[in-house]
Amino acid sequence: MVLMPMRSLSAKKANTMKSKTLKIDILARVEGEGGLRLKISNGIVKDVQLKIYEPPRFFEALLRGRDFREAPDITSRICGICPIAYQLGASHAMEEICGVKVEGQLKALRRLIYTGEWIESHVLHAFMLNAPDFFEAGSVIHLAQVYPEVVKNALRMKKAGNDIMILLGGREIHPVNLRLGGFYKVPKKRELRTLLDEIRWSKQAAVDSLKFISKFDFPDFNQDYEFLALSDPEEYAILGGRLVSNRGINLAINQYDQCLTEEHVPHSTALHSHLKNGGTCLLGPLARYNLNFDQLTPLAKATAFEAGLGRYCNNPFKSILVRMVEVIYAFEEAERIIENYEEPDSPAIEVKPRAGTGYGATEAPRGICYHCYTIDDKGIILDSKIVAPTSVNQSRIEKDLWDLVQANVGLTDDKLKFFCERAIRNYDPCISCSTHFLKLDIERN
Amino acid sequence: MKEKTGPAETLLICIGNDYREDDGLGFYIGRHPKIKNLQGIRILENSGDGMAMMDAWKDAGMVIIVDAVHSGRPAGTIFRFDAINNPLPANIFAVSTHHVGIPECIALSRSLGLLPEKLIFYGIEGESFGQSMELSAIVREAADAVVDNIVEELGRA
Repeated sequence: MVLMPMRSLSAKKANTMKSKTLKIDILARVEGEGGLRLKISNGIVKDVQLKIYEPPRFFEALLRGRDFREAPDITSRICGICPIAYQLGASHAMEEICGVKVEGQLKALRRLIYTGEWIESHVLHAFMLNAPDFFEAGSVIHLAQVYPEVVKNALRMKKAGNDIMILLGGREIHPVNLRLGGFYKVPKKRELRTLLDEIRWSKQAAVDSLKFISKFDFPDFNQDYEFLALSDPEEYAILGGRLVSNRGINLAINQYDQCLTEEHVPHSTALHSHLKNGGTCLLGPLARYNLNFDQLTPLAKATAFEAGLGRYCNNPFKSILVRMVEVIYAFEEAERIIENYEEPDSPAIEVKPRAGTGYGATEAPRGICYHCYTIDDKGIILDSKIVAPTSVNQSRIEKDLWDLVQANVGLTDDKLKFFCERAIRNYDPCISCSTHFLKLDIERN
Repeated sequence: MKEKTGPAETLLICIGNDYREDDGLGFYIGRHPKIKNLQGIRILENSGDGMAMMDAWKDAGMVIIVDAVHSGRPAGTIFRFDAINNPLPANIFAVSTHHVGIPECIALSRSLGLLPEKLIFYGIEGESFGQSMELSAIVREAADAVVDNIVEELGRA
């Protein structure tokens, strides 16, 4: 079997005689359930709706009346791909209310388990969901028939991420060992060091995988983004930092509502977030890469340059490259943390309840995951707000699709549908998170 | 994935969710006394992460997978497929999203040469997938029958 590389689709002259609606009922290889509806009239795109019909899950209401210590475990159930983002966002917010700051080795262990989540999520997306888009391959199964070693290596890298999650969290999905103030049990130094051989092998495999992906044919589609990411002067931000954009936003996490607002839109069960000025912004790997590039490791930077990435990237089709740069970085971070690990005196700092409002935000694989809670002096949750990164990215995805469809409006419906699905996968949307999958309608009218 | 006991030659992979009624039938089967009393069998519980299953079965001799299915057939219908010789029909499984599902993982393993020597899939048509830890009566009856089938099948192996 020979897989043919997918040639970049160039802009076609619009067929101004046709007007119709096209729909994709279920988008494959994205997380959650949703659809896309495009309305095109006389060759002009009139409407783009990323329709999320996955039922809303009302997690924020579910949290009200619960004990503050339950928030990390309840919110982790929002997503099987990024539970750590929810556990730590909730933990940080509660700890802020209660005047507790987790530092030292406990903070390092939190960063370590987060690298496991990034590795699991990024490798899964890059190879199982996104890479087949660059070939005439229906899925990773076809890719595996032609490039078995590439896929085997990807599975092994993902397993290395899983193993970090299992050792620190008790299991790879919805870990059970994290709590307010730290962990229920921390690993012995020798237990952590058992991970090192696979982490070191995987670091090199990630470098090789990035070189493989860099040979893909990327569509020329550069967008003018406002990127928004957490930024930390000490390190490539994962666990926290300030909200920073390339257009002047520089706010503390507790000022989140000053820059982003949410609204209901009729076509989606997920709230849409947008900037207070009405604009859109993009969260996730591209935002982190562009805003925090200098804090990547020398190996991650050098491999990025070797793969053809510049210091700045605004082509969402190249986000697969950036994800693999972050995988290299995550393996290096995991190695560093384990090599420097000393067992802490206690697995957790005691967190006693006190009344107040607190905020937490971390960099989930798809971008900033924001939490805000109010609790009373008994630790009962009175109010909560959780914003998943896909909620913020949705409106930006619609904007990009609008531009992409307009530039390719002359394509046949089947090709346009495929191109739209492929474009949506660039953002690795987690629709389950944002509602707390995809149907496409194209109307040419 | 949670490893329970024993050597790796024969593997029983029980898929499901304890908290969603008939979706818990895989765990019910794996925890059944007749199954737990079998010697030389490793029992794994899995919440549906196919890639973790691939890693578990790649070195195994015989693998049996049990899971709830949703095909539109009457509740309690038992399906048995020899997954080495025939592809699993994808339309009996719920749509899988980020987690690569069982049919995809079997196909991927086949492409990569990572299939075990023998791979049997047992599916039971669920009746209800609501929020409870109880199996429906008809599915429990079918699960008991599958337990007996597995005991017999492993006895022959």
